[in-house]
Amino acid sequence: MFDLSKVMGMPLDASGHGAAIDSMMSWVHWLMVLLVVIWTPFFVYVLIRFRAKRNPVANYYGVKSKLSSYLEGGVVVAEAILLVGFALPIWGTIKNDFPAEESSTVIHIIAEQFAWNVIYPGSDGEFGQTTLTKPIQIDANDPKGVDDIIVADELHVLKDRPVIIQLSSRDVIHSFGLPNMRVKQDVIPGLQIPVWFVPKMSTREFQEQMKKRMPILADQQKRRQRPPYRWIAIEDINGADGSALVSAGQRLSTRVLDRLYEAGIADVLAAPDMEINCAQLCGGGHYSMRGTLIVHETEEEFNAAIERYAF
Amino acid sequence: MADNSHASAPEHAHGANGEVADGHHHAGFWRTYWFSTDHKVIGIQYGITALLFLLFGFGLMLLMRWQIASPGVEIPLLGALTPELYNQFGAMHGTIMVFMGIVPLAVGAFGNYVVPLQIGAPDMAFPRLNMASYHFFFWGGVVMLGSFLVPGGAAKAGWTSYPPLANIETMGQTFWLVGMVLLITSSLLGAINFLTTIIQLRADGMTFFRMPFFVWAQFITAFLLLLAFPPLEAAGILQLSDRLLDTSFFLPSGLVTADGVLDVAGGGSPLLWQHLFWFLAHPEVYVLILPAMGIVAEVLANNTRKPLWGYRLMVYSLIFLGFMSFIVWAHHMFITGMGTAISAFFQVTTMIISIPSVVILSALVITLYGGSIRFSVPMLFALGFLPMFAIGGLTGLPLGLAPTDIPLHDTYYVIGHFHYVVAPGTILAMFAGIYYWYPKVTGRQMNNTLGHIHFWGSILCMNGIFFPMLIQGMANVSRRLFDGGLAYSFSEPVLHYNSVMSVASFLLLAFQLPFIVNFFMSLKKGKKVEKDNHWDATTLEWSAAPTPPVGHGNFVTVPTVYHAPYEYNMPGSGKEFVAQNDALSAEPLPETVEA
Amino acid sequence: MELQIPYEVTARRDTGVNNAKLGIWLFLASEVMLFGGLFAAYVFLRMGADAWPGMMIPDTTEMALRADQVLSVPLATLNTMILIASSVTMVMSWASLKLNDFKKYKLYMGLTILLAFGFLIVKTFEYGSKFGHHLYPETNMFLAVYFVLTGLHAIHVTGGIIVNAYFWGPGAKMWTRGNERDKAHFTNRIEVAGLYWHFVDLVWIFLFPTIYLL
Ligand code: HEA
Ligand code: HEA
Ligand code: CUA
Ligand SMILES: [Cu+2]
Repeated sequence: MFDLSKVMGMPLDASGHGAAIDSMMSWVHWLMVLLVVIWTPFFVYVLIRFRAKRNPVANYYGVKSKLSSYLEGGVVVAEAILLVGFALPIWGTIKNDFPAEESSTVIHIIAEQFAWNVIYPGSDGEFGQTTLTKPIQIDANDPKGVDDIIVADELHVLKDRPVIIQLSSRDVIHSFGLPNMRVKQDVIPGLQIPVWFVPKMSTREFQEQMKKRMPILADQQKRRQRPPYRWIAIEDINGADGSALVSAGQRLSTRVLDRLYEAGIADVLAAPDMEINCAQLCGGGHYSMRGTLIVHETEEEFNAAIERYAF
Repeated sequence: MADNSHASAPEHAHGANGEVADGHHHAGFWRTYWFSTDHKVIGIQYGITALLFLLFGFGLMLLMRWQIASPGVEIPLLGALTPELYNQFGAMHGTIMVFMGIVPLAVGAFGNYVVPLQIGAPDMAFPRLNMASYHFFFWGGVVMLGSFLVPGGAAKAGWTSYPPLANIETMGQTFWLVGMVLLITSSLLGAINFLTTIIQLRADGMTFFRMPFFVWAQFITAFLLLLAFPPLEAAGILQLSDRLLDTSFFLPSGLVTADGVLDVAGGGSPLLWQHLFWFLAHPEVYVLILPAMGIVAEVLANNTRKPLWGYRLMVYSLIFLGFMSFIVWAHHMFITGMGTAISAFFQVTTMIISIPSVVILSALVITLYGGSIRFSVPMLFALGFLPMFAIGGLTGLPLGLAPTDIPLHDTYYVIGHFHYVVAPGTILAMFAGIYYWYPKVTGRQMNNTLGHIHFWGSILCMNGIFFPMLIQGMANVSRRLFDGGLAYSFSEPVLHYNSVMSVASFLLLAFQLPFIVNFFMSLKKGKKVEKDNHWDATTLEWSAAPTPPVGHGNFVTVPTVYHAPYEYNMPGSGKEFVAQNDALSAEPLPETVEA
Repeated sequence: MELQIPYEVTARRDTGVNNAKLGIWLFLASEVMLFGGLFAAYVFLRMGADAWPGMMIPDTTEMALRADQVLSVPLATLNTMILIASSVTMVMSWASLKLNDFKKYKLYMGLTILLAFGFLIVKTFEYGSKFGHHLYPETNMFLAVYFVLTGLHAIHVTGGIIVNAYFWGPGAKMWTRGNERDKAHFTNRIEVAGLYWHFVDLVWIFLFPTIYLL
């Protein structure tokens, strides 16, 4: 059956298990559509057919057929199928079928108002103690910790390599969301909650699919506000004098946008990053508790990216 | 009319004479309008107060919608919103709409005014308690609104007040808790009163299965309030002690906030609050919908001129719904890291509970078939309720299944889901009730044209506000975002809806003006109703009580009930409608009682 | 005069109760949910705790293994006795009214009130000794639970005292000045107040073992 999840504007799915969730999403919405398609015409029909003018005297008994009971029975069956056929098994895999640690990237994320501290174990594969300082640091005199790497608000992973993340928070409840990986998990202080996913699409491939021509708005106010300032240019644009106005991979900061506007550029080919979003109200900065998810294509690229943050 | 010889307890007659003579005609203003013990006056007190709170909650939301549509742009007179202010407004909008708006309107106002009349009682079972509950509600509201003025402003941890955030929030949160305790007390006293009234004060012949569906709805609602609110009260007490006695029921050890390490004993659990909160808050959402369904049922039966289809089935579904609503609460918590067993349980119960709603809604729609439909203004609102509740209810299904809840949880899809049930659902039903019983209360009719404008304007704008929410939610736009999702690039494709929704909500406000004008103007200028039973209704409040009511006490002679609630066009009666207290018409043939 | 509400005094035939009686039972149902919620919270927190009571035995340096090493069971037992006794006198006061013996009613109701005060006095001593050892609600989870639950119960006791005191004093006019109907009405009120009082007693009988012994 036609997959509704494709037309309902869900974020592009770049994960291993996402397809299952999406198809289920599609089926649930088919059920809704079906019910509305059955009921609405009936609803409209009776309103016209039985208006007082057309039907001056009401019929005491009304509907005699058992049709509605069958319909209700149908709803019961449909819901049962959704439960047993989809919900329970899918939830089972998500909760229980964790990949083996040795074959996956294991990461700790400690959330705080309003940032994601992404911690990599480093070469020894072991995590050191973290200090309670703000911003968070690795306890200097913990041998395990010396090679650990903390990255703020950036989650680097490797394509096709399963990822296991241990989530914890040091202040309030946050919610760790990876829209493109169909991952969302509340981060609860006092608990360490694991999640896992397999990135099936690299950032490059993602941007290849998401790229579109971003108009450079004339209204400066709007230009500074609209999301493009989060987007990444994926083409080089040179000014009349040949100087680069923007080059591929560069973020469309307000400065860049202004520059392009002054140069009279109408639009620029750009694409977004995959993002981390905080889905749980966690205070004044909740709305801005954003991170980026970068899926690398090669081991080298991945290591290089993390090493940049080592000290 | 009913003859009193049937009346069992002599007290009946006593009560009957007691009233009209007595009433409060001679009592002073305060006694009559503020400290009244007359359920009708108290009902009106509740109604006006609740409507004003609704308007205020709406106002808060308009400011938020302004901010969402044009982040950072100054609001005339108020200046630009800060994130703190936005969160305050959000939390208070939710709290006000639910606990100070809809519940007092649906239960406090309509329940109080209509239930005793519909069951043929002279008043509520405990008139003084009734007065007390209004005053608890009023002062609870005052405390809530007052919290805007305290240092740090009102509560800003959402209407759900999740700790630890709620614990480390400013003084406003303490006010929120105190306010809630007062509101809860009010609801508990009210619930006890409703249950006792409905069980004890039904007139002779008013068996349970002759009660109008509205009374049934209030009956079940009262049970939900009575049993679901106390655990939240418990939670409130614990959070209060966390804030005032420095205990740490909801605080795990070793928390680090902006101002360093929290020095508390720790060992508490944030999830404990969520369980206690949702144990109330899910039944609470049915408290928001059941009275609405009751009103819609009344209006539908009266305006289709035929009995409700499957009345008994609807009642059984209602009871079942009531029971089930106590064991689905954790479907709000799938994303907190729930294992397979527990989530399986709550997914199953959630799917099960959707069935009685389906049954009730279907029955209401089917009732239309074969009717002789009058498109009166109350009927328009009642009809509007049906598809709107359908959308709201159906969008509950993907939320009720854990895997599909992953992408949707805490997005605008959830906001869209429940606004479809509470706004174009419940609020439209509330309007239906106001238009339907306004003549009863005032003896005057509301203006029809204004009514039509109000209806079409409201339903269109509400869809303009809430449907885009479902779309934005699908695109993963989170709720409670100060900038309406601007910070995230994934919201770019749906961001333009923000202005659409905001414009629609200001238009919605505009379309409330005809109603407000109508509401107050009709008091003086409205056309007088020419007979007691203005709508040719079968239920006692119309067929047995004077319109408008006279003084304290309800009936000149206490009615005796002979018929099912909605005997319109009853075969063999030779009448267009047979009132419940119509002694002269015979019972319908047995198998037709069901209908 | 107020208008008359049916079944204020006499029971309704088909339900077999009068309004106040039904009302109090409903109220108690909600109270059960209130304390039920708190007990649930207690269980939830205790399961999460790694040690219970998880504190030193007062004036020593060794870890307490059982609640009774921290709290005073003798005092609590005494309080249990007191409350049970007060429940008995409460019944007696109602029975005396049934037997039309107002003097005895005054006596037994008076006793009930005194016993209730006794309970509170013992409680103050208990709390006092805790504070004396610098043990406060914020000290640890065990004490938090102890203080909040027993405190809430103490508030219920106080409420009972106020109600009973009213019926002992001014409220009794309904009997002394009233006609037969008022007398019956007053008797009902005492019965209802009694039901509440027994409930408060019952809550304590749950609290005692769960907090002091388990
Ligand atoms: C009146 C209020 C109300 C009602 C009635 C409902 C009804 C339902 N709700 Fe909703 N819900 C809320 C108010 C309500 N809800 C609120 C306020 C929240 C958010 C709280 C917060 O987080 O702030 C919420 C959140 C919420 C969640 C949590 C989402 C999340 O946070 O991730 C879930 C999950 O299971 C859920 C499920 C359901 C279900 C399955 C129903 C079912 O009962 C619905 C059953 C009804 C139907 C299935 C419709 C039947 C329709 C037909 C048969 C078609 C007829 C057609 C025509 C007439 C044209 N709701
Ligand atoms: C019963 C509950 C209820 C009702 C009716 C409403 C009604 C409305 N709500 Fe609300 N809303 C909530 C409960 C409710 N809401 C809750 C619980 C939340 C979550 C809060 C949180 O995140 O913690 C929320 C959140 C919420 C948000 C999300 C904010 C965010 O996440 O950042 C938005 C966004 O647009 C919104 C909008 C609206 C709008 C436009 C209406 C409109 O439909 C308003 C319609 C109002 C009227 C039509 C007024 C009627 C009154 C009159 C006409 C007065 C007449 C007066 C006299 C005659 C005297 N609501
Ligand atoms: Cu962190 Cu919201
Ligand atoms: Cu729910």
